[in-house]
Amino acid sequence: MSSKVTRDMLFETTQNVLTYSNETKKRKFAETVELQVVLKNFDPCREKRFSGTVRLRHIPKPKFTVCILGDERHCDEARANNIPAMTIDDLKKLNKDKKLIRKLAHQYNAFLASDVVIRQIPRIVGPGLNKAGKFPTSITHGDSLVQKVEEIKSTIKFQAKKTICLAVALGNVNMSVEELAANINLSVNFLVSLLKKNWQNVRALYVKSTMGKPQRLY
Amino acid sequence: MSANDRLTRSLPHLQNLIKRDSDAYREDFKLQYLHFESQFMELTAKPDTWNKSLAENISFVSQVAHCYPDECKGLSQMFIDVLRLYSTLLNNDVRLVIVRALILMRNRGLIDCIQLCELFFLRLLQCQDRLLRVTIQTHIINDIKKQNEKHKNNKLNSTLQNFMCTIIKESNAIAVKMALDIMVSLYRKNIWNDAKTANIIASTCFSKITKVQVAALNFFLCNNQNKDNEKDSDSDDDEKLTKKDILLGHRVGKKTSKRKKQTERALKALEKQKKKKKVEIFDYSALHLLYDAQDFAERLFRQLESSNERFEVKLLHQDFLSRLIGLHQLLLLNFYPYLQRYLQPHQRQVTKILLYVAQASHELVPPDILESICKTIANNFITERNSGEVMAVGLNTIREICSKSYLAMDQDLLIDLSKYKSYRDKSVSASARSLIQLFREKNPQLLERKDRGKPTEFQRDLVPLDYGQSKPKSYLEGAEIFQQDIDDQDEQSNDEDEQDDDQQSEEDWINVSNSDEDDELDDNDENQENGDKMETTLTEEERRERAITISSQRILTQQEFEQLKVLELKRRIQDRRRNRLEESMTDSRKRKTISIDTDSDSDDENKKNNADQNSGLITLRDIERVHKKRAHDKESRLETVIAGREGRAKFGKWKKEQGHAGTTNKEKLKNKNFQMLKPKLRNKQKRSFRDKQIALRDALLKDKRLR
Repeated sequence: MSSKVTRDMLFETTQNVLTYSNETKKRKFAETVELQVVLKNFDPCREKRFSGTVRLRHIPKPKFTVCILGDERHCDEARANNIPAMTIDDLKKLNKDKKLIRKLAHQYNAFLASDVVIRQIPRIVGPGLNKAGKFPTSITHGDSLVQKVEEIKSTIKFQAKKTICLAVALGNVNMSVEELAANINLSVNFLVSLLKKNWQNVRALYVKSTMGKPQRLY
Repeated sequence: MSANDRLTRSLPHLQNLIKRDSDAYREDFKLQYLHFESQFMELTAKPDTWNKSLAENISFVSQVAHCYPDECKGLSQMFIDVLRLYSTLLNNDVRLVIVRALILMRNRGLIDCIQLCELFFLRLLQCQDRLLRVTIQTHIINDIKKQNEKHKNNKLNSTLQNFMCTIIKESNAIAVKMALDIMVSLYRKNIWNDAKTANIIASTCFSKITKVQVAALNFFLCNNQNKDNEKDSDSDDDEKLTKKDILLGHRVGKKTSKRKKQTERALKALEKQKKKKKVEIFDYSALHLLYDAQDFAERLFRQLESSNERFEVKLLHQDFLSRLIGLHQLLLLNFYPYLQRYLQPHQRQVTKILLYVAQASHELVPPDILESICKTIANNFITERNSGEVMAVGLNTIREICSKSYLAMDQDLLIDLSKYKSYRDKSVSASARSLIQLFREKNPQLLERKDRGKPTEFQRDLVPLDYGQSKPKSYLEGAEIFQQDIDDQDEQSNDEDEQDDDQQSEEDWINVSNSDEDDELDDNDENQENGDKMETTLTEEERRERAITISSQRILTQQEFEQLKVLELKRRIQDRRRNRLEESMTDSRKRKTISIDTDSDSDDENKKNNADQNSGLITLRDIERVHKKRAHDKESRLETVIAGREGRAKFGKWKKEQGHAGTTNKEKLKNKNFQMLKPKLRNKQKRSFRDKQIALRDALLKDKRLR
């Protein structure tokens, strides 16, 4: 059996997306390319909702901001690399104020926390970060900070919601066709592997840029 | 007057005639209507009297009102006004008749829905009349259902929902309860299954009226659903014995105590069967629809902490909270110490509370909190002074908590607990083993070396994550095996026929269980060798690289995904060392093959499992499973017995088999008078040892000869 989506088809769709937003109707900002998925044979009320994270090859969102909530060493390292950082004392200053924490959560796209700090975070900060879906990821002193930030930046998350549709951003229009295609490939493969019956659970796949037309992939 | 009398006597007749041809009977109707109006005026003077002819007139007028819209313009307003003014003063029956008339007119579309709802809710619920309330409730539900039948009537729905919301905010207990009941049943019927309804219902969890609170909690916990299901199932299985049949069987015939007992036993058995059959279906959807789960949970917990309600109500609160926390992964740190207080073996309903603890644990809870909970359970439940069941329940709970968040366990405790695997009580040892089994999958490093089980590849690759850590994969697990056939895939698929294709799907290393032809086996083995060679040549790094390239180069097919699943299973099952061993033994073809069905059967099983597990929800059964499960149950034991009997001679007296043989002397002795035997027996006992020996030898010889 041949593949559901051939390579040529994939390249064609990605090319279509890119040409539309780069040439036909260029916008003043870098449009994001997202993958939209419609599932079938899947009841979001009854069945367990799946979720999974996958690391893409190429960073989909370059403007993705990460904040470090760390101990002294991590904070120093972060400042050296020009990454925003906060210490425990800074967090304590927030004083569990819901508004301030919400503001903090809005400010950054993701958080990293040292393994010592992260255990205290639910107590110090409260549920605010969790509510925003931005509970920090832990780092140890063994990991390189910059690498970890890169990893966070290139990680995307699939999460089934109340409906049978889900969408995930996996690139922007400044990327080349090959890069975008690689990202799409990996994310489609990963998503399908998450589903219980694999391809039998997929009704349709679309690739779409922010302002462009959706291109049907499957 | 006489004409009037004639008409009243035959009101149903007139009604029938009017419905057939309304224009022809317009005069008759007008006459009757006048009569009705005059009678109705009398009602306002004496509202609390029952007047049969008036009731008949009311129903008649309402039945035919739609035929004469002009004449009956003020009719509905008249009814409404009377109900509004004399709501509690009216005679119960008269009031019910008027309400029914209004409902009829509403069904015909003569009255506005909201107007009627307002009247019912604001005026009529104060009346001491249960029948009236039931009528109103069923009417409102049916009415809204009808309105949304073809397509959702959003405008009406939102106004009605707002109306219900205002009702619920007021303090009239009966009205609140009814509004809640209506909304719950509409949600259950999938008519009002939107977020707004769910949140209005959620807001009633904070009601001061306990009954309302409990109803709302039960809605979210799906407790009441079972009642409906039971009703349905009763009506469903007609062939099987029902309660009614049993009772009917008892009614006829003589009433002896034996028969009474029999019926009781049969009823009990029926109940048991029903309980077994019932699978709790938990509908998440309402919990997912809450606007702000964290805030809601916090408020609910505050209410729970300060409540003086009965224990059952508190249990409901705890159940709901724990489900919310588990489902939304909320952080409600005070909830755990609160539950910890209840964790004593003699606490009422302790298994339920243990279940709630397990439900409320998830990955994001700081491990120290769960650790302390685990320690409390271990201290209070899992000690040898407690009975086996208590210990087993404790172990099961710890297992469930750890299955949600394995960080809750520290090494010392786990090693302690794993010692119970050889405990004398079987339920305890089974629970301890299940805990060990769990940690083999989650974090084998914590276990003692001897408990870790055979090292599989899965275990080698497993890196237990710390709190908050995440390790996103940049490739698909095991995708490296596809590298080879990118180029020659097309050729292969052209050459081979379908059967081989099928085999390909279960490719490398896996023998299909039903492949019995030798050629196919050979093919398979070649494949296997290829696979093994590839495996050996790849280091960890290379494998990863290859997997990355594969999974980002092309989109995999359904078959390939199935292969991946098989591979994953194999990695979990197969011994890593044996793999190494086998490589040297490939020639002798003595490998152990794994046969895995990737067919629909296994899928069905999965489905069943899922239905049982309720998609990840822990059930009380998981924690209460403490009965001793025999290795054999009675049926399988009997089977082995019967299988053993086959092909051997029957036991028992050899003589009897041959047919007409008499009784032996020994048998005769049993029937004789003892006094006759006394001397003989005495003689036998008095014999010397030598004589006894000789007698025994002779007897054995005789026996042998006779055989």
